[in-house]
Amino acid sequence: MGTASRASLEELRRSVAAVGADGRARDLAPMRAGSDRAPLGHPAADRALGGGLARGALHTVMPAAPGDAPAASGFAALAALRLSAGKPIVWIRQDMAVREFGEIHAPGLAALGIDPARLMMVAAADARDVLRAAEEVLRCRAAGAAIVEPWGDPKALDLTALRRLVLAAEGSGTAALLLRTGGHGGPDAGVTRWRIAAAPSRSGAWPGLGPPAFAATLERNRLTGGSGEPGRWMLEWNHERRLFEPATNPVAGLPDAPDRPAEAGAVVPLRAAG
Amino acid sequence: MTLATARAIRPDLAVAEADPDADRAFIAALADRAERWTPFVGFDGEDGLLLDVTGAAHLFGGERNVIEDAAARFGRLGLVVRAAIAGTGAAARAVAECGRGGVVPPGGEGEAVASLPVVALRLDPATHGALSHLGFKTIGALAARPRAPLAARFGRALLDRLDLLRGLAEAPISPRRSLPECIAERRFAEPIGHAEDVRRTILVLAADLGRILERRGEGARALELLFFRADGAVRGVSVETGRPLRDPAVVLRLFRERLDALADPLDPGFGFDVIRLSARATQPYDAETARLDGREDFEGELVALLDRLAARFGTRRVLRPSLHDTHVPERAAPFIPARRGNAALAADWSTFLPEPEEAPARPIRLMEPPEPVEVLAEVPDGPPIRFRLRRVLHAVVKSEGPERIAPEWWRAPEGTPTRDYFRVEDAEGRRFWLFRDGLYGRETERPRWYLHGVFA
Repeated sequence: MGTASRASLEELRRSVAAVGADGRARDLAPMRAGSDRAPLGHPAADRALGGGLARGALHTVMPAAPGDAPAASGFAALAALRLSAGKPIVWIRQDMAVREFGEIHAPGLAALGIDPARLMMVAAADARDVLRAAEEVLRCRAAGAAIVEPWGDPKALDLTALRRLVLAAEGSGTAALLLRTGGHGGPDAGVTRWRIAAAPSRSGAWPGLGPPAFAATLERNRLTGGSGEPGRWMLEWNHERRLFEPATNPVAGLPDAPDRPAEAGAVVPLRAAG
Repeated sequence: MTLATARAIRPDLAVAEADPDADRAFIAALADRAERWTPFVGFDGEDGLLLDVTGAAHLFGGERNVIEDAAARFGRLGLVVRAAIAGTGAAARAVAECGRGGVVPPGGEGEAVASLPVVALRLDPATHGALSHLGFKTIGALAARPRAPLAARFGRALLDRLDLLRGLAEAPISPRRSLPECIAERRFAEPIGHAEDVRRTILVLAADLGRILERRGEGARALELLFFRADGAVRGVSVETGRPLRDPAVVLRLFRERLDALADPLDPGFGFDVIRLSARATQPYDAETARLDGREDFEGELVALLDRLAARFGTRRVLRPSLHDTHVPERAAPFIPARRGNAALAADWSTFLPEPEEAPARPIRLMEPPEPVEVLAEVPDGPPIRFRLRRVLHAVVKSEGPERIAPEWWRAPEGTPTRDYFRVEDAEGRRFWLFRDGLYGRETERPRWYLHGVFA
């Protein structure tokens, strides 16, 4: 790592620390409109959301296709980072999710700008434990965000269970991200629901991979002050500024591009929104 | 006596194989049950229990009652109980084993053991043989002799035992379990069994314990609740805390989590007649811990959250990442119990942050173990062109690599292949971390490929 980037890292650390102090001061007072929003960074998306994702609320993140589980995991983690306001992020994942999609890898999260020192993980044996742990975490003001990852479409994940999570999150101001790896649908109590697909990364000066890119579809938008409308945006993660920016790769298409055609030989299961 | 001789005398003799393990387990179970009279329970040899009831007997209305209670409770298990209370453990054991048991009044040990046979000394067989050869039948007879010649003939050990039995010297009892730092308990004339009663009792005990801890300027780091059922069965539940604790409401909440999560729930049977809360480990409770400004408050809440999660799901399921000085990905950043301090805080994770505009070098999820994939490469040591994962064919559009990761020769078995890692992106923008296991031509002729992780 060069000295220049090290210096900017120090600067970043300072600014993150400042956000932390601010976040604490804010959290001691009751939540007020304006402070309870975490902008994603993408202007059009934030406009549609009425300023950003809401803290103290439940957001559902679904992979667009089973193969998009990694992209959905990444989006959930990054949204959690935006929402956490310098406070710890607790990732509650079911053991089965690890068998299919891999264990959470802290170096990879660190590479996105998520500080592993603020990361905690609860390894839950089944969906019921995931929900129990999630409720416990969401009731706690000290946690910034909880990523709740049951596996598949468990029976325990019914509307009552989801409403309990919503109530817990509303009470504490802690954000909940329901990450549905391996899931197909079912009841939803979130203020937003996202369907996330991987998107080709930007080709820069180098022939290799560019920063992570996502095709994010907002299917459910019930945030106050927002457009209430669904939307679809190409997002690119900027790990230096720690926010999403509009993706600029022409291959990835314009922000309002329809689903890109499947490559020959590749299997892209299409799924109806909603 | 041999078995054959015994059978010649009594042909209907019932014979059972000796099972020392089962005997030990049984004695240990009795020791658990004996904790109802005092937490200070020790083993005495392989076949006895020694309880220190100093300062505890009044709870039962006197020492006599302790013995009667013990005889009655263990008697219900079908045991013949011999119990005695005396100023020293050795005297109590001698009176229980060789005498009539009961309570030896303070200072009365010499008199109580005087009529007991010399075997009550529990010395080696040779000494006992020699003593009986010399005509010593009772402890009293031995005690009446001048000490110097006895010491010259039998050594110091005999006199030491004699003094212990006669209450003239004391030997410490070593407790079976480490003693709690402090305890609070409630005894019920009418056993309780309702969940609500139990909950209220725990809260009352936690408040009692909190007051004791406050006087000592301490907080508890490990707590244990013991439930003594009226029928003698004992159940123990423990919790550990991340920082010194004495708030009764928090203690109650921790135990409720723990009790709710028990695979084998607490069964009150006909009710509990004793419930004891003990602090098994304590730590100074300094002002720092109790500071009320926002930051400390949140940190305290976070620790309390981790405590509750660990109580419910077990410490091995509440984790934090740690960072190790190794290039082998599966060993670089394992999750460890969050309790073991914040290892991640001290670690320098910044080396993983890529240069601006660049892609992460490490995946966000790691396959455990790496998953085999079929790969097509233009040349055997080149990057992958296409690969098949879970029956789906992926065309590689972008790739970066190889990043060569050699096995750690001091840890890996001889012949562990070198891995060449590639970051690849397929036509749909999905990003994978693949490696070729073994250097083509040098380590293997047909290297195999694996998926080791996925990128966001």
